[in-house]
Amino acid sequence: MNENLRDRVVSSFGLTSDQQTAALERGRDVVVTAGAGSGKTRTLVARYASLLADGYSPRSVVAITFTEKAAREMRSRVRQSLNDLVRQSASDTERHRWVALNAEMDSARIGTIHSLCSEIIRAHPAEAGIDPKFNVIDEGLAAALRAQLVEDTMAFLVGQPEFAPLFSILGINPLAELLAFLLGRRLEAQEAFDKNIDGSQIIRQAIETALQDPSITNGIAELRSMGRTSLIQDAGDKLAIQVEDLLALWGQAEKALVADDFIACAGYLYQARRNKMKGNIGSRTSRAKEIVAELQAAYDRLLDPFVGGEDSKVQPPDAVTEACFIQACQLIRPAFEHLSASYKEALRQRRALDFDDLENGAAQLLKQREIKTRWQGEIAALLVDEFQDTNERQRNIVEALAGLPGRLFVVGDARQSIYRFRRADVTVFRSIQLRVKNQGGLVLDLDQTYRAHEALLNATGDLLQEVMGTVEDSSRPYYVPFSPLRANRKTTPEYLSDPHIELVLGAGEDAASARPLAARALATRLLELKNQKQIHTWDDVTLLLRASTGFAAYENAFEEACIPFVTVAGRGFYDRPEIRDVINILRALADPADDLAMAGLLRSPAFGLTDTALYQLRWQNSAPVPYWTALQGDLSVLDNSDQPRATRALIILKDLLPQVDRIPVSELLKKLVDATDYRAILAVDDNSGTGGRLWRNLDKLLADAQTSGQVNVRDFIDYLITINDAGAREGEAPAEAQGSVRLMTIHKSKGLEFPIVVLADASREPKGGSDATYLMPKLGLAFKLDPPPMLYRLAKWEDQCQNDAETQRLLYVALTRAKDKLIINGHTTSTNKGDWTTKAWLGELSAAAQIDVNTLIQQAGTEIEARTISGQAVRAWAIPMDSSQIKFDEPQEITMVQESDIAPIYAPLLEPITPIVTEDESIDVHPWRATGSVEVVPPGVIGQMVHKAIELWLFPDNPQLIPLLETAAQSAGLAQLSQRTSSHTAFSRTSIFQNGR
Amino acid sequence: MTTELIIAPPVTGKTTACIQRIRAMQTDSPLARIWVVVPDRLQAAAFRRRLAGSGGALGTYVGTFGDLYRSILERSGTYVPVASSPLLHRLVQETVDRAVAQGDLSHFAPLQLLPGFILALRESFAELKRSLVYPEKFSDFSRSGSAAQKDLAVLYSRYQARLRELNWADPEGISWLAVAALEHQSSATDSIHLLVVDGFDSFNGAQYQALKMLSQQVGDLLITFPGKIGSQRPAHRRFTESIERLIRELSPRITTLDLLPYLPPDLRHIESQLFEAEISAIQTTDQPILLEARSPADEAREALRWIKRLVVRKNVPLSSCMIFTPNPTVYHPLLRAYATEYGIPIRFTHDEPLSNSPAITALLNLITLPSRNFGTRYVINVLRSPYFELSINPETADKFEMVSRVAQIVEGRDQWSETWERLTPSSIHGQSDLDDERILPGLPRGSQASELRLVMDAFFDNITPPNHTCTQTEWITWLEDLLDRLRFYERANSERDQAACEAFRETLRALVLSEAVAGERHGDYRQFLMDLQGTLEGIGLREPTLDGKPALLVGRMVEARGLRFQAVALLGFSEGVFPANEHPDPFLDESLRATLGLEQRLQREQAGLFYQAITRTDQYLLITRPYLSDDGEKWEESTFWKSVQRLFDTSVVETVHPDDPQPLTEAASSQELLFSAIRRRSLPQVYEFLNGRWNGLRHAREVLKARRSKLAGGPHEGFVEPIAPALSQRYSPAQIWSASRLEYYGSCPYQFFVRTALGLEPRVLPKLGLDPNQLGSMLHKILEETYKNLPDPKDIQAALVSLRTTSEQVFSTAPRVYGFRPSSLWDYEKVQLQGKLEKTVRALGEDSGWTPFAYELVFGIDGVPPLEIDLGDETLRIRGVIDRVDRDTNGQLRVVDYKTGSSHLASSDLKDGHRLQLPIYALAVRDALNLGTPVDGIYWKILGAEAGSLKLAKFKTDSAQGVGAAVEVVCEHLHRIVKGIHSAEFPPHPPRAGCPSYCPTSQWCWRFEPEW
Repeated sequence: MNENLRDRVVSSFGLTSDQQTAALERGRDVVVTAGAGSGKTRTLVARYASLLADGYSPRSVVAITFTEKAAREMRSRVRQSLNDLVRQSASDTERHRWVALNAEMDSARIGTIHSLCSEIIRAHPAEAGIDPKFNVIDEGLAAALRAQLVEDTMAFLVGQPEFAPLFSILGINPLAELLAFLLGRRLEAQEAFDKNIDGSQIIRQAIETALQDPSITNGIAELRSMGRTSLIQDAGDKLAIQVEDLLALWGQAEKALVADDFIACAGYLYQARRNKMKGNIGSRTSRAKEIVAELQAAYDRLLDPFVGGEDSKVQPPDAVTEACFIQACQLIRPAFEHLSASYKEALRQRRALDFDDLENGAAQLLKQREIKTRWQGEIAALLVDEFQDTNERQRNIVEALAGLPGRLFVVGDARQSIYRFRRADVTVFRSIQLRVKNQGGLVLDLDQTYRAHEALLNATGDLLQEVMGTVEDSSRPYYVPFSPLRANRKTTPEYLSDPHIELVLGAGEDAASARPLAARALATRLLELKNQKQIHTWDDVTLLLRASTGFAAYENAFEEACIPFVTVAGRGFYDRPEIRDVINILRALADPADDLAMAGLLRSPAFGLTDTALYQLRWQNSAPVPYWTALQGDLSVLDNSDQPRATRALIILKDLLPQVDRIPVSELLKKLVDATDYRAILAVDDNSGTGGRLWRNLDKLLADAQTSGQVNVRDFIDYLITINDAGAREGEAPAEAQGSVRLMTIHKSKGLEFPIVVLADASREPKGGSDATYLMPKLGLAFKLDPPPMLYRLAKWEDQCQNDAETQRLLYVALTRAKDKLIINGHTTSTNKGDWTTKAWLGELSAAAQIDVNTLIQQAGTEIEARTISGQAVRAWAIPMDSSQIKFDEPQEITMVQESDIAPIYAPLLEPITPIVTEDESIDVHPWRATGSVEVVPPGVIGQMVHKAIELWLFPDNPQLIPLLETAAQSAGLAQLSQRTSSHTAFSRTSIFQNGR
Repeated sequence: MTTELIIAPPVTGKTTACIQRIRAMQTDSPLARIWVVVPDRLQAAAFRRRLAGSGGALGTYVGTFGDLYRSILERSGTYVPVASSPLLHRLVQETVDRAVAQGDLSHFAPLQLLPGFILALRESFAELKRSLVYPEKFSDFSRSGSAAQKDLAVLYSRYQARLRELNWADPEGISWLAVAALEHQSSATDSIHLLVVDGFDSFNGAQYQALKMLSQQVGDLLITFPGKIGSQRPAHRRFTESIERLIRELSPRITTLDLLPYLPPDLRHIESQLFEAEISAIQTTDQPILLEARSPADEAREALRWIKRLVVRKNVPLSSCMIFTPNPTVYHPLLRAYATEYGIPIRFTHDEPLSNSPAITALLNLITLPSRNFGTRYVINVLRSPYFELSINPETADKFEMVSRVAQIVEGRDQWSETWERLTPSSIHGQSDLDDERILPGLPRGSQASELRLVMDAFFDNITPPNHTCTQTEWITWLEDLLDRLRFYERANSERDQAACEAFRETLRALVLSEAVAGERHGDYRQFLMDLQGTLEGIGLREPTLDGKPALLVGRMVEARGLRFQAVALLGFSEGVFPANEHPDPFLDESLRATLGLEQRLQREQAGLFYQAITRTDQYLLITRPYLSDDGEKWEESTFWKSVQRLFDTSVVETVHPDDPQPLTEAASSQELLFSAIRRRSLPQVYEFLNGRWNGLRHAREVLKARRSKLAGGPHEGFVEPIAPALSQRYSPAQIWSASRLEYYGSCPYQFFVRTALGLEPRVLPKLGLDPNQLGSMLHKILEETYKNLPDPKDIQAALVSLRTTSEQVFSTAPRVYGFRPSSLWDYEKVQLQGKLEKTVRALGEDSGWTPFAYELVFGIDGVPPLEIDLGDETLRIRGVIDRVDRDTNGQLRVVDYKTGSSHLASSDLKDGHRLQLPIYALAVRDALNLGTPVDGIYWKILGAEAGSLKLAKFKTDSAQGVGAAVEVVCEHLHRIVKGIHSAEFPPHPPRAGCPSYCPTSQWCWRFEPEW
């Protein structure tokens, strides 16, 4: 196929000129920055199709997507475009070519990086030393396995005297947690250990760099240059003494650093900051005072994060801690390696690999020249989507596969990199951009968006540029400044009125009381917009939240306001009452003597006994009676309403208990649900706002049970506990937003767009506190001791900086999901001084919109219009404080379905007339011992011999009879010669044989 | 001798033509021997049925190619036993082992011990053999191939040589032998007058060769094949190549059936237009053919509902319905589950893995116990398993479980032994609720423990294998003896279990046979287990027959050929499911396949499969797909779905949202009926026989309403008025309370109800490390002993010396006294505890101004009068044990209560009623022990080495401060508690900071809010 065709194919996608360039560029690598809503997928699909037009097969064009969903979407869109091309074909040959290509799409290499890695490993099992029939282990099972192996490794370490210091330095639980952390990130851990990072050198370097910063050296130099007399003149006695002490400590610090004693150096610096930078002495006009203040600010910026001194609660650097840290580090490596090896072995026994294995396995294979050459030979083009969410290891795999320049096509948007918690590294995208640019590749920016209309885009841009800044910072490569997009939609939808950005607030004494008010405020405003027809249907509205912990307040407010909603993959699945009930019932089935579980079973909505009945069943005499015994006894102790319920429980349990462990858990669960009408029970509440959430979750639990394949009920419960502890699969059942407002996390919204977006709970502060352990490419492993070692302090600081940068990107993603309108919702709380303060994003955004929150709250109930920096309007409104009195409308009556006259179909099936199954050949049953040690001559085999001999018309005088008998006996499993001989003898005694003779 | 090839699209009467031919032959020569070869057993049954329906099947043998091959061999006097799967597994493994030992594997050696490698080899060998690629040919080919291909060739040759040496055949080898027999001895088939080959849409190499030979030897050969000669239709692509080859190799007489397919208009439209670039018309249909449902589970529901509807309303026989799915692992369990609910008998065409069987799972759990070092949870599972006769009743199993929990027996016989050692001689009993820090578990001790030990030892002896190597047959003898002793086969009594047992027995038999055939295999128990498990892998479990009853058939999409039904449902038509994504075979890659004439792994023409599948029905067709993936994302339609969709207008698609209200008449089970009825809030009178269950649902509504209510209370949440008299009697004024129990009510009345009134406690799994109760008891004991005999408790050094001696003593006897089994962490725990205790002793010593003067002061027990508190309408009597009373230089008193934990020790906890102990103890010091009036009271955090923030001296209320204020608050709470108990009100009330995870009700309390 030729260039003409390629152009024709690409032009069929209706691309912009930039998109066309991206799709058509050949001969050099391409990196595309694709802004939110810039038609990225269309461009990718067009490029893919154009490569097929070039004559490449789907096997030779690799497309790497971020999720399975994206892979499905891409494959489907490519297929669709091929179907379209079939219809648009200029000739039969061309048509046949597209038809053939469409058939080849079943084997197209479109998938996640892990599916590609998996294919690479599968192709080279021997080189990888991996079982060719490996599976990728289920996330929950892997978590369970890791937990088990940490426990085993702890038991192992305890028996090894050389590890004793680890226990004394860290303690039992922190050590176990540290090992679990390392195992969870074992590739990074191994890389860090392999680098042999010298933590002391890093700290030394960091101190040195800080001390050489002009903001410090200039200040110190100027202070030093002031003679004693002029210092006293300038600053007065007290300050002069402080400055002299400060300089003395500084000098000692510098000396210590020269002597390579960075701990002592840090100690002096700490003292200098803690005691000798006080700002409350000295005359106001003193230059020295000014310098000290500047020094203090520089210190707090550069040194305090890892040396301390500003906060009295932070202890000074301590030689003992530092020594302990180093000693522990040396022991952790072998401990980790033991753990990692056991985990690998456990996976090997299960013939399983985890995602890390896939990445690592593929990366290792691609280091072998022959393998790399083979793959580079197979792959003509490599398209990678969402590159901003990859990491260095994945980048290496991608580049190894791409080989020569001209094959790599990368799409990403650094502004939308939000997967740091899954170890994505935003700097990777920026560095590949640089590499491609330097090598003469094409670096392209798709900055025209088809999503937000111009007015909204401009207003959002104003807010974002205030919050994110616009200037790069070379010292923070992970920081991505804001850069604007151009709107393709110039006009605003008619049904919307300006302003397109709104701030909706609730105010309260503290977050706990203010948050529900903020949610009510939002509900009120949404109802208003609905009445004004600015919201057509509820599914136009999507609430985006930073954390699923914020969902509850909105769910309550919407329930009260009768706004239909669905929580998309809300977390806490296992804490949902309907799920806890079922798990508890399973507990009782697994062990009917577990009275606590049995009590839970009886009082659950499935059986509905009252608490009175629970007492009456249990306390019939002076000693408690086990519930299972009580149920089988005299139930007349119960009142009239509880009695039939107890009887029903007894009947159901009597039916189910004998089946426990005899049928798979999923079947048992299904029987339980069917016997108790539990699904219907969970639907009784459908009209009160839960909208099917309960039974959808039940369906999910049933599906989980099926996937787990567990038979043993106790094992299944353990499995659930483990995956719950590990935080795996805790999302609720997926739900559709049929006429409902959606609640979802920002991460979940990635790649999606909605007419109206609400950034909800925007005043929630990110989860504070620090982790006990950090693992960073440049710093290596750092963990907490008491007091914390400096490397740990440094790592914590670095982590915080990177998180802050990601938080800004998360906000970017959230705000750029909106097509038509953006609502920012959150709460404000009162300070001790009586002012109102807004935190987190809400604080930053209201400042960017130049909204005075105090005024807003004072005028609660009245809207305020503010302007962004470029003059875009923003509407702000706060709900009045007494809004809890606001009553929303009552829920509407449910829709009734018109019943037809057709006969119902729920009755059991009548037995159809034609039998089918009996025509199948029966299975031979051989219920005798394999070793033949009890019954030597199984009659069944003799029967088969006779049958065969007659069929073939073989009689005793026929020489072929013996081989036939021998074969029949062997095929029937008669292993021993004696068995077979006996069987021949038995055969010869049969009447048919006797008659034949 | 004639060879005829009938080529025609599906449903144009090919099988009918075959039957007519058979009938004609039988009319001409009634004794003629007729053979019909079809692809599988399912089709054989269907063919027989049609034959019988057309006038009788006598004299006609219907079978597969395998059956025909076996018949050919028997008639040519070639008797070769066919190796079973376990024997083949053994042979392949042996081949690999020998090749590695002799240094003949340069590439695959690292995979020698990986079971998946053996499976992959078996599959590769089978495929090569099916395609009639002989080892010599493959070796020739591999000479210029990769290292992997060379190794594969070595293994293939050796494997085949070994089979010959043993004179056994593998299932594919039968085709070779048959072809050879045909080549050498034409008499093997000359008695066949007519050979009909029907229902195929492709042949493998061996089948082509056999057909070629047969065409020259049998009377008449009639082959049918789908498609059209010279057809360019994409739907026919799959068949074109085969047709060309058949014509080339057999030079048959070709017949075409130019009839229109016998199909209703919609189906004919699909058949004729599928995959065509230009379509003749967009049709409207009166019944949707494409149904999208939320998930595979909902697809299964809807497909079954559709079938049930056809059976009930259209009288379509159930046996004339079939469901085909592309992914049995996903769909088949779902179909099984919902078919049971809907009352539809169901049967699957293929085996499920034997390892899925509950009986076999239990058995494997049993026999792997030794290799799992008798991990306690596995042991308990065996003890409770319904499959083994162990003479251990559930009560005894309960006791074992309790001992394992308290003694922290995680694994190993030795851990049990150690525990029994500690429990048998002792007569320590315990369980006291004086103080929740000091509860001793009620372990069986003394003779009771001895008896349990005997039972446990007997169990272990019974199931422990000999500790030496022996042959596989000897191991199997041991295993069979064990299973007999445990009466396993008798207990595995359900139909499915028995089928599983039979398959398991077959496996054992094959292992014995493989040893007899291929030589003894010595190994230890571990090796035996590995062999057994490796062999069990890949063994299928055939569905038990349904005893002649009709059933809905469920098969895989690849089986959708040759068969005909009145109604067919096809599931899974979303992107990535069907057509499935294809992956290359790492052992026999695509170019090699092309060269050797093997079937391609990529581009398998799934479109052709789809075409076959949609043409399996004569009347009704349903194609379903899930529209939402597991993660709630939109799931795109499969390209096949779209290819049907484009032939019709919108009427062809129906979307079923689970949230949509459904008409009751469409409910396929009573559960569904009630589900729909409850959502619309009415059950029509016609269903009054469901009234019982309907009333149950109405009651459940009340329960759920109570659960959703913002205020806890009511008969389902702790309001138990009817038992108020019983409670008043049980908790009469004569009752002597412990502070802990009152605190239960104080912090959450419902906790009191469950824990104290009902007497329920959770069961936890055994875990390494001390449990909180044991730890608390032990630390209290150490501190008590440390100070008891100290002349000057403020002498820190002396206290430390005393602490060391005391803790050493307590630690040494702790496992016995507190009933735990010291784990390997115990040594470190001791060191850690010692360090913390030293810190606490130092901190207590430095706690200026106070000197301890009394320890472990009891009241309300051992003859000491209880504390009596006058609450106005009642006097409350309380007992307890005060850890310590201090005195200052002025002789003023302070009460100290040791706490192991460090949470909930603030003033707010007293104000909220969660912590009542300190003021009660202060009162006890004054009123029960008459020691004077304390001026202060503190909780001391033993492990935190500091006092809790609640200090009675500083305790403030709006109107007062100090111990008096605290006592006042406590009395208010006690009044509330006593009143609550008497009026039988126990509403759950989660603490402000959330509920502690140890609250027994955490499993099911509706108000449970986990602590953050």
